[in-house]
Amino acid sequence: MTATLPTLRFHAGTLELTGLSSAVESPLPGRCVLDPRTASFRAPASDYADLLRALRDKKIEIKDEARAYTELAHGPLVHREPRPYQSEAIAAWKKARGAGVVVLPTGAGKTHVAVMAIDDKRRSTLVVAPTLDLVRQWHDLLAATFGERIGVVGGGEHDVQPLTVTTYDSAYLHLEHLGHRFGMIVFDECHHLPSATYALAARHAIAPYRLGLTATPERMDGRESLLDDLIGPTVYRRDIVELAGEFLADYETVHVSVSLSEGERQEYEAERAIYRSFLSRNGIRMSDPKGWSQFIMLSARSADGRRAMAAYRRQRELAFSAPAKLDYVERLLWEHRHDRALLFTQDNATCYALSRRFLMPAITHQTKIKERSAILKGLADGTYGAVVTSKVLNEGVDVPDANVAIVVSGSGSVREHVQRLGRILRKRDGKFALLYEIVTAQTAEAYTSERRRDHAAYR
Amino acid sequence: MLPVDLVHARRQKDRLLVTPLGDRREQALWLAEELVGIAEAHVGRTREELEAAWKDVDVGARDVRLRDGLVALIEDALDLDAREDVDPVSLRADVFARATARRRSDAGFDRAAILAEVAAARASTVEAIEAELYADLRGAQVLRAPLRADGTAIALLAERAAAIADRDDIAQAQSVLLRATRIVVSLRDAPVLALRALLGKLKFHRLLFRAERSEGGIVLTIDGPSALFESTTRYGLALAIALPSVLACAPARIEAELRWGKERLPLRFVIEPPSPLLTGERVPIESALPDEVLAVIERLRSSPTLRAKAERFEIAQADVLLDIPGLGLVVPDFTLTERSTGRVVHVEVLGHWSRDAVWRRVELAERGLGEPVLFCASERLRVSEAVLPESSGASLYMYKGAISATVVLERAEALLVHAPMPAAKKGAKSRTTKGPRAGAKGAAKGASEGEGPKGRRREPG
Repeated sequence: MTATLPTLRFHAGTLELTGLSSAVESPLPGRCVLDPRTASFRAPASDYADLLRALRDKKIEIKDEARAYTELAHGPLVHREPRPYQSEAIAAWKKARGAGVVVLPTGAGKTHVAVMAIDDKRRSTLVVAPTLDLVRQWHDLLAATFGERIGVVGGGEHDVQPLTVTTYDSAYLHLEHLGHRFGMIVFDECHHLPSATYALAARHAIAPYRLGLTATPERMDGRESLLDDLIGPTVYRRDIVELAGEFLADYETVHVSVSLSEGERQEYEAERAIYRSFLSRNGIRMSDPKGWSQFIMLSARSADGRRAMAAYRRQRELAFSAPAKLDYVERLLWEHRHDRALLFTQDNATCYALSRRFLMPAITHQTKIKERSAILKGLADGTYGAVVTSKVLNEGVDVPDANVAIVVSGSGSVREHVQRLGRILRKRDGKFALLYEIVTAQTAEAYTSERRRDHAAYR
Repeated sequence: MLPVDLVHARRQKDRLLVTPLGDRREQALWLAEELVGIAEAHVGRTREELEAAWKDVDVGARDVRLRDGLVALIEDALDLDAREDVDPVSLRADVFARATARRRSDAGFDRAAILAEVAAARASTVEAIEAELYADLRGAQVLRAPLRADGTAIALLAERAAAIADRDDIAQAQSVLLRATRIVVSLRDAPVLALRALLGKLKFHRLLFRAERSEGGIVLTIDGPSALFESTTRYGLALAIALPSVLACAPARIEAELRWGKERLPLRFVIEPPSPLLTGERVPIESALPDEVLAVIERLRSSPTLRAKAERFEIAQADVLLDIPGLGLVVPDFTLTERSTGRVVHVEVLGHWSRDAVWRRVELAERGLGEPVLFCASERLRVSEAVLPESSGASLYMYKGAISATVVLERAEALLVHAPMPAAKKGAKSRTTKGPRAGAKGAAKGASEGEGPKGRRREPG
């Protein structure tokens, strides 16, 4: 009688094993522990496959009520010949029991790798992407490829289907309840996953098959090592330089250095001195991970501090938006007026300032989806020749026609800089991509630029 | 609830201490009034301007957080909207398309000329076009007039600010609990009804708890399922929401484990006497028996066709907890007490919300509940009634659609044979915790919500 068998259930992002006699309690895998609150054994949902294997090895028969995912009725309706590296990536992923991370540069066809993986395992699949734009792109791609209704969770929708797409935020909120409904999860731009909250999304899901996709798994906080536990090891990796020319557009990066005028230089130095002096007086070291928050906190507490914050902003503004830099942007926009250009800034204020000055569309997190889509469509069909953005187009969003990138300002993050280059590398016949990086000489920005170019793609 | 970063708290070793406003209340009132006055002066102006003006209010280092907290709460009360008389999205599309075309033409890019062209086409001015281009951004939102010209609303707002300035202690504690990973509540002589209501709330929020008897009361350790594996603040909001129910049980002490600040420092937050939160007063928790349970009770009491059989029983809202040490608690909704013998059958309605809940009851019944219980669950949960044999002293009624009062009555009669005579209860296998009896008729307060919302909510996802 089935009721007498120990039963495995999915409960709020965990696995609950009830009805085990105490004689077999000890040999369970490490993370499956007795939960006195419910008089059952409990394990993180992500241990599902390991737990089943362990129980099978110990010949413990159970009734599995945890698994609520199904097999897909069919594979893709559209078949595309994979590129050699895509086949290699899938082979490596399968060898790792269908759990691992594939690192490929932007434009190399990571989504096709995911489609191949879904086709191979044919389990209900959840695709997790960082933004609603990407969710929309995945939705359209999966609908066209599988000819099925594709579910969406997030952005005001809650429709769960055997193939469903969602954002990391929604996955964090909902996998606690939906974590048993998918046998496979694709984490797009999976470098987002190791953050403390998003990581729970992976732990709350039972999916035995997991595929992580990214161009740059490395994080500034070093938490990429958690990907091993949350998805699996890196099973395959190719960098931009290995694929440029044959599979990605050929490209060139141009580093442009501009100078401040005499008056601007004096103002820059004076403001910087005020800011530096405040740091020094208060013993704040910006190299310290806590330096910035200390500065924010202390600067709000006194008139001196507020002046120092204003000085910090002004010297930054002078470096990021130096008049000579903006003049050069104007020149580039003219030079590339028949191309499709993406301009990148470090912050929204500069983004909107450029939009106003050069009368070109801006995309930031404040831009509504409808307008964002219209802007990207306008860039594709030539209504617009350039679009300026801060960070939202850094990753994922497909802009295949863009062939010029102009980095007006940015952070010291190598990943961000590589992603920005990636936006213009999707292969097109005869396409040659150009990335300009405009930096104000002899300012802190020059050092930031050096740090972010520490990648093979810029050598 | 206050934003966590605006809670007035400080660290002392491994403890987080929340600072009451105390003698700074006057200062807070003055500050609140000044901030509201600035808002009044900015009616018709943009959020960016208003926020900049607020930032300019010079307060000492000690009051920066107070100012920011007040600003956040006042801002919540204001009406800041995008301009409705313009359509910046279509304006931008027009301006940027013209600019692109012009850049590609022989004429070349000329910003002033493009704006003049758009202004002429729209019978507007260049200045207006400039102002409207990004009128939908957050910073460009305009402060409407939430404050009446006669000043009444200003006073109201100030009053609100003053209330905020008082810093409701519960709100502060709740904000702290947003960062909690677990709380331990010591309850002494907690009334059963309040305890039932609390446990119902905890279940509703999918929190797990472990109830242990301690000297003079019960210790509840509350957290979430995955708390066994890592300290996560995933349950912080649920813990915060549950706090008023916890306080309503007049606990002797509450201790929360926190992950505080960006560094997620493990700290303790303790509420103990003489905290103003622990008044010792028990407050009835506003909760109601689900409609479907009330409907069954009503039918049992007043249906003419059932009267003959039902008169055998006194039907009342349950006032007991069936406690099986180390295994869990059953929180019945109502009881049928045989008038002639005093034998009792408990009824718990599990609705159609959680299949797990049904299985858990089955397990508890198998271990022995000590008193007969009829569990009612929806057929939609796909559990066979046969899993609970009659010999277990409990019965499972899987109902289709609505609960039948007739079936409840029949099952209760059948279960009576397992009910100990009142005098024999002491030897029961489980412990029964009893509180003051309350009639179910019209009794909404103090009732448990049981395992989830009992049929009044759909399953998440």
